[in-house]
Amino acid sequence: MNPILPKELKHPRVLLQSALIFLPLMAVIVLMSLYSYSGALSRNMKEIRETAQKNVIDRQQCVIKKFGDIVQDLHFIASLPEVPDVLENPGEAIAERVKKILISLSNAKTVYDQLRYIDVGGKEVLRINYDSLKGAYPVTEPHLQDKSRRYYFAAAAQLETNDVYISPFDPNIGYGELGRPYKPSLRFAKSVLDRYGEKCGIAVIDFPGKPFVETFGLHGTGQHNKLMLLNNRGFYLTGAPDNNNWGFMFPGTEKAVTFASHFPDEWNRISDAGDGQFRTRNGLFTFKRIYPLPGNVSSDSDKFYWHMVSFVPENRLKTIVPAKLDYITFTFFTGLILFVGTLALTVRIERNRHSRKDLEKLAAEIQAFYDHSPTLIIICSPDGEYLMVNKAAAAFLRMPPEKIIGKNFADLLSPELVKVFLERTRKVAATNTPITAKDHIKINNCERHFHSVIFPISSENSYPSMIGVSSVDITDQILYQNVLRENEARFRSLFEDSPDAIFLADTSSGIITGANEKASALTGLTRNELVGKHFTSLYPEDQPEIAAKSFRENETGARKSGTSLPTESFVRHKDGRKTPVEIISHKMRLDNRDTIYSIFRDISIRKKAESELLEKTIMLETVTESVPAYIYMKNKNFRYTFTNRYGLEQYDHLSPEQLRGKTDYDIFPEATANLYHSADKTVMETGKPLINMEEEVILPDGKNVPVLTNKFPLFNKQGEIEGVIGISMDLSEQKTAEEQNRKLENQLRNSHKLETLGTLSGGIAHDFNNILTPIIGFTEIAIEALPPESSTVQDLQAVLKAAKRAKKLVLQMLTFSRQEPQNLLPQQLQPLIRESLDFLRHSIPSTVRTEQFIEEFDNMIMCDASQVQQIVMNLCTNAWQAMETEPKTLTVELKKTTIDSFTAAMHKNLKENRPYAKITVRDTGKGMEKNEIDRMFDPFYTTKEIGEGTGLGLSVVYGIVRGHNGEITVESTKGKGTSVSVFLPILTKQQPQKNNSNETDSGH
Amino acid sequence: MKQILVIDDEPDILKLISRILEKAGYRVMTAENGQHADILFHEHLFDLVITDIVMPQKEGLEIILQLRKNSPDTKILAISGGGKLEPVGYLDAARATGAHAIVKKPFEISHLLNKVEQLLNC
Repeated sequence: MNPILPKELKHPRVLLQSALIFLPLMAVIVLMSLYSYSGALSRNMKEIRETAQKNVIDRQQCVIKKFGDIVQDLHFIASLPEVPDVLENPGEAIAERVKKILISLSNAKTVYDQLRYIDVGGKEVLRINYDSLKGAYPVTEPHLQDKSRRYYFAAAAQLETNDVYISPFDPNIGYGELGRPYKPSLRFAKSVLDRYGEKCGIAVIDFPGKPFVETFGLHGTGQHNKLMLLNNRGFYLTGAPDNNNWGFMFPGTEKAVTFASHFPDEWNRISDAGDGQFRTRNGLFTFKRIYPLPGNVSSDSDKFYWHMVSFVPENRLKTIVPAKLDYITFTFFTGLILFVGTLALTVRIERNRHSRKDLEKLAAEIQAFYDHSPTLIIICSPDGEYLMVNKAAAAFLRMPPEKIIGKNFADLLSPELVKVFLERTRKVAATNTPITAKDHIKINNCERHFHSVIFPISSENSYPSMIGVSSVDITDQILYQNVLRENEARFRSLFEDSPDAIFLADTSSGIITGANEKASALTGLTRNELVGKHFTSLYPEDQPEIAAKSFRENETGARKSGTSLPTESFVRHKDGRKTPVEIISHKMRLDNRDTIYSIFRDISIRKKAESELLEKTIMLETVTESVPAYIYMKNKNFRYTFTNRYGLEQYDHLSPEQLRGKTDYDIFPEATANLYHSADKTVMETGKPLINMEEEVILPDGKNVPVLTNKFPLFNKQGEIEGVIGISMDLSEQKTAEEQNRKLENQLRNSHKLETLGTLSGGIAHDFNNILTPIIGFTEIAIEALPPESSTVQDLQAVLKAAKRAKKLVLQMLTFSRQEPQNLLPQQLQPLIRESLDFLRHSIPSTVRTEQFIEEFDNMIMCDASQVQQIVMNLCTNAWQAMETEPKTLTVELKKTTIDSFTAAMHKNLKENRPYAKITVRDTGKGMEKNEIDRMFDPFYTTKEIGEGTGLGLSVVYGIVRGHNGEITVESTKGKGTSVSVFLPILTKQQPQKNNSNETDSGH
Repeated sequence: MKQILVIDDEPDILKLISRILEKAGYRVMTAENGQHADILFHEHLFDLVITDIVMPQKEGLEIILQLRKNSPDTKILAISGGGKLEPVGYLDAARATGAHAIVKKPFEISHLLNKVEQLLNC
């Protein structure tokens, strides 16, 4: 806000008040201005209207009078007694007399162009012309003209005897041509009667238009208005805006302008109404119809009329309105003065109000201060009369203030005090200077100490008639000082006898200013040595920055909150030892200096205990957090207080906080929780552990985990049972392992069985071969010995055939038991498998759809080609024979695979991470039960009808696969089909060489 | 005339092979076991010994080793109806031990004769 404006203007109340005063006043001023303005406006207008009307009427009167004059003159010349004679006998002496009369008339009037007599034949008999230069003169004979054909003559000839004819303004046409310049004239004519009352001619007065107009001042204008004279057809006689008067004389030319062509609407109103006044957008029109002829001069004088029009243009009307600016300026300045005045007034009022309020406030404040001050305030006369006392003083004197006033010191105090006090008041009164005093006054056997100021109260420099006494009770202060002194002594004792080392240091410099005995012991320095050292020198030398930081922390901590948080650090002993200490610093004021009071507590014992505890805790934590077992603690209320990480992870990754405070019922199904609860209860009631309980934990995902649980009671220091701790070992892995073992065992048993069978069949084969050898041999010999046509030969052939079948069977048995020699060569499997499938195509029925997925890879397999082919043929044959219903799909697949640990564990012949070629033959046949799978490789086990199969096909495959250090696996689903996979090891780079060298050896 | 000894613990097989070889024009002697064969080796010199491998008293492999040592010119033909010993078959073992040819039991007569002729003519 503008600084020169009074600050009260900021106050809304001031502005409101100003507005309340100013606005009504301003409204009155504005209304007055408006009223005055509109009054002036209408007055002006009225004046203009009246002026216009007056002008019009004036001119009308003028015209009528002029015409009256002319008509009189006409009458005069027409009624001259000599005239008939002149008309009948022109050129007579009598005519001279008439001429003289007319000349004198013409000269007298000066406005008549011509005065004439025309005989009944239309011939001018006598004419007097008037010229402004020559004056009036008669026109002589040869210039007299025949006017018989003139319209005015014709019209006048027909006039009644007393009628007067007035031609309209028309041009002065002489000899059939327009005279130039145009001289519009009015012609007045009247019949001249002879002595018999017969018409003997006419008298004519030519009245020129221009002087007519001049005479009537018609072309002049008023102050604002313009006067126009129009004939009854609206042509301007005078006052045409473009000076095109007399337009009717120029018909068909552009000069033939009428009032109607300028103001068509206005003309309609003017021609309709006789007279009146109206205002249009063009301006103010005032008009009157003028009948210039007096009523008695012409029978149709009412047809001859003109319009007198006064016209005030609109723009002129606008200029005559009173100047608005004057009124606005007046209103504005009046308003401004009023506004400033109002503001000044209200500000003044506000200030007064404020200063009054301030004074009242000050008075109230002083009163309150005076009343409630604990200081005793007394005003008295120098002679000890109480004039005024405050509440504290009244309380001290134990009397209400109103009763004290008027009393004397002597009425209320002991004589000794009265004497002292009067001495003081009189001294102050005499010197007019204040004094101070200290008193010990006994009240109720208590000694009270007062500190008083006795001062003069005087308005001017005169000697005071009143004395003020202000007394403060300082008893408590004195007592407090005593307590302080005692405290200091106590503090000193605390300082000296403290079990902790205490250092005092100056806050700003960090210099030690004091130390106690213990501090000296802690550092190995005497107290004198310590004082003066820097605080940071207490810390070990190798940690200067830590020392500085510690001091800073202690200093700032103490400064901010009075006492720092405990910090831990080390203190250096003179002999180099480091002692762990806990430091707490306080800030205090000592001898007017900010001092840090630091307590160094030796915590070496605590530290040792702490580190031992920490070690134990870490060990315990390591155990509980790493053991794959559920470890948990519950309190007396069966609520969880602790669960190890394993447990939390298993329980849906709950956080420790989420589990803490929950009971088993919050986590497990009720039946399970009941079991746990009763076990916990037993432990807590009996105080004996429960060992090796087999339980199940139900995890959030619904899985049951078998566990082996041990529960122990938890005792507190008092030996009371406080809860239970439980350790539940997860048995699920163990169970899985057992399951796996069982499977392995089974597998092993199976392979043992097969091996045993192999050995057995090997022995059988040997014996069989020995039996078959003589059978075949002797049969052959016998056949040879017989004549070929003998029927016995055929019988022996049958024997031979049977023996050969037996031989083949034995061969298969030998293959199964891997007792058949092999021809192992490194080669690729793909061509072998394709060849087999080609060969098989002839034996597999067309109803079986065959699919082959042969993966191409370059790796070699150490194998016997014919045996590999036998594997494929046997498996495929078994597969298609197993498919009895549609759809029959036989799939042969070859791919490279690497053995994972699980597969390796399940099959001892498969090595983990080794690459194998995997041949899979899959059918969509009837599938097998588990017991069938277990027996499928057993020799002579067959599901075919007796005589359909030997039961050795798969046994042979088994033998071959084993002979190649491979493995065979079976997956089968009853009703869906069977898939048999053969794994043959792929040669790694080193192996071929090794095998080759073996072969070389065997070649020797 | 070439002299052939046939050793086999099966009398029928001995009889069969003797018949075949004799018919083919060879002089044939037979032994039912290793001990008997030893006696015959002391008294006779054979062009060819046909021996079984798996026999109760004395294994054929032993006889082969003995013959290779004592009578290196004698051709040896091993015959067996058995499968194979881990990791090599009986006949592979025989070949490895020193047999000049092998024949699997049961055999066709012509096959045996071919082998015998091959051995004796080289």
